[in-house]
Amino acid sequence: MTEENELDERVRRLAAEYNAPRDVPREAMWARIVEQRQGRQKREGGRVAGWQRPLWRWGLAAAAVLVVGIVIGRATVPEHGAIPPGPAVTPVAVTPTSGTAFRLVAAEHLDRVETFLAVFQAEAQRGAVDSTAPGAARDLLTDTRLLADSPAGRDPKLKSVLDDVELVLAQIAEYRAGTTGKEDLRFIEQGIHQRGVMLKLSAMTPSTIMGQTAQGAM
Amino acid sequence: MRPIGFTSVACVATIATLAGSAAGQGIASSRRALAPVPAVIVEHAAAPRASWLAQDPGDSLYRLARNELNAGKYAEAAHHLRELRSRYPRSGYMASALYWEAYALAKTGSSSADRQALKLLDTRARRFPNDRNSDDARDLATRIQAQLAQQGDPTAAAAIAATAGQLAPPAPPAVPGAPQPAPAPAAVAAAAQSAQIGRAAAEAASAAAPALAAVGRSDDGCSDRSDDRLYALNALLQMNSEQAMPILKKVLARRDSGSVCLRRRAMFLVAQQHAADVEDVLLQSARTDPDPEVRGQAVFWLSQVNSPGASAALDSILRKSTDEEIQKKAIFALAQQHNDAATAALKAYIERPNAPDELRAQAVFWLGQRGDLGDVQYLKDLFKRTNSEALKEKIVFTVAQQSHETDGPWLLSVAGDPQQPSSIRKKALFWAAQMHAVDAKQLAAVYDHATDRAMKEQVIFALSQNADSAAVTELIHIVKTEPDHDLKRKALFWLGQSNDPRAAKVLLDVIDE
Repeated sequence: MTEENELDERVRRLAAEYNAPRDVPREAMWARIVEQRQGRQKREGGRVAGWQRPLWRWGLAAAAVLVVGIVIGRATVPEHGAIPPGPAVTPVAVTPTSGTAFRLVAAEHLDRVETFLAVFQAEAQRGAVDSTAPGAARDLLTDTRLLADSPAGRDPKLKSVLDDVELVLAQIAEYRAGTTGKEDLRFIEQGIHQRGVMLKLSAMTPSTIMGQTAQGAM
Repeated sequence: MRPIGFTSVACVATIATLAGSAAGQGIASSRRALAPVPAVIVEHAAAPRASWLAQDPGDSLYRLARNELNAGKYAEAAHHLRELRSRYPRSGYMASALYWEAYALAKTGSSSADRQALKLLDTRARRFPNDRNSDDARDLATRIQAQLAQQGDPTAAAAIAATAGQLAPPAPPAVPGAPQPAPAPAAVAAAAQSAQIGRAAAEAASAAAPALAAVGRSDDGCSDRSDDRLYALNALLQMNSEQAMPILKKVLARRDSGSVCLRRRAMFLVAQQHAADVEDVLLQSARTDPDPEVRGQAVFWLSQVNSPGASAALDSILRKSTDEEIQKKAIFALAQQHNDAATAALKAYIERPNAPDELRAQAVFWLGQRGDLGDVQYLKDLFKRTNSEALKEKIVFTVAQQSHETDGPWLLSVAGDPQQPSSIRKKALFWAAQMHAVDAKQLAAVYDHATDRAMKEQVIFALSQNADSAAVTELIHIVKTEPDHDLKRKALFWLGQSNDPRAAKVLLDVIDE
């Protein structure tokens, strides 16, 4: 199976799980996110914050993400008690590569993009896109392009995702609220869905990006 | 269609220009969609945002093209946007159409399409000089120039070099007695706080080049938006690093607060170079840049410089810095260096008793990632000597990732060692089971010797995950012999998940009881 096929398979699997009926309080979650963002913006005097902060603000947070990505797998929790006493894990073999640093940065960047797009989609659905979103998208776009040109972009899987992300971010960077904004948002949303951007971003976990191989899953 | 007079349109356009408000833009936009406006008015107006103008004759084509863009059908999108331009030259979508057609053409990958895209962006810049998205168009133009330059186009290469060169304009001549620009407070504060920033850095922080400082300052450090020049520099680095490195060095030597974002990105570009002086550039920034992020990145990217000098510097940073974030980056960077000095520095840090456990555990993790058998053996030896549970846990995790023949038995020995903390023994057993390095009989032996219930629960779980039929045998044995009701119940639960017919029989027997 080629790397692209593997990615496709992972995307298909995620797609199948994507809308699985679960009791997730999404509205409450998004309300909380929006509330926190607004609070943060107030505290920071309207300056961009969180995922909108000046970029390349990663570091070994990426490493932490990697470790978490390695450790946390999907546990099959039985319904009738008898919860497995061990941690839910997917053990992996790590193969160090010369591009480890670039891949870590890519993982961190895509994580930030995913967060940004998730919040953007939630705001777009409510018709209240934050005025700083186009600027943040432009920053993310610049980094996306620089990453695509870097050693990280030599990975075809990563390059493909970066290309998709580039178009979506370019459209958001061009977005301006106004009388025609709703239509713009609809097309941005369509782009995200049509290209499966969120699913691909979900599939590009740190362990995927780091080129690790799952040896077994629970 | 209601004609609108020249004066009305001019007024609306003027209002939009002066106010620059979203409302003004919207009005101007819809007015222009209704009437054939003299080109001269359009060209001098602050180009309004033009999308989804339902009454615009180009609306259908524009929507079609945007659909095609989303679908990745770039050639078709470019075709329909070209059609829009030729059929409806007064369309309100013109500015956007020019941008997206250029974008689509640039994605098709041919140099002729790139050249056509550049012409479109040039037209856009001339016709819509005040468009609010002109920065994006300029960035795109530079990206396309870079593509052409990398394909060997000498004109594009010259343009790229010139654009990149704007990042490092010549310093203005010194004027005797002229007042020096005031240092940015944040930069000075950062310089004062950092033990690694000495007099040179403080001087640098207060001596930002006046011409560049005039670009603007803001608290977020991103007021100098030089994305197009950065793209050009990136392209130049890939084509001619000798020409680009001096520019990059000048960018990194800037100390004005408005260039912080620029320096952060420049750091990323430096890291991709293999020039001899990259190490010096990174070390210089690590030591003297007033921005902690830039310093941190310099440390992080020293990971790309595999040299004794870099290792020594990273070791020094790791030992002397009081900033844990910087130390984490130093640990990572050291782990990427494959030389004895780096390995020794990492091991020395891991064994520093007064260093934070979190950092020592990180050092264990990254040391283990190198996949060196000697390093793994060192970690196993360390496991015996250390009393830190955090380190023990990280060592167990790290060893479990190695998948060498000896690692499974080692994990099992940890699991069976009563001297070890229960939580560590459980984790060791868990990983051993996950590695399939332990069979049902061995698990049963651990169960028999375990004195605490948590460990026994872990064994039951490990047995449940073992595909060998012997594991079912052991679970049945536990059900039949275990006096502890809870443990028996857990074993029963997992037997209930098994397809083994013996398990079904045991369940029936229990029900009959």
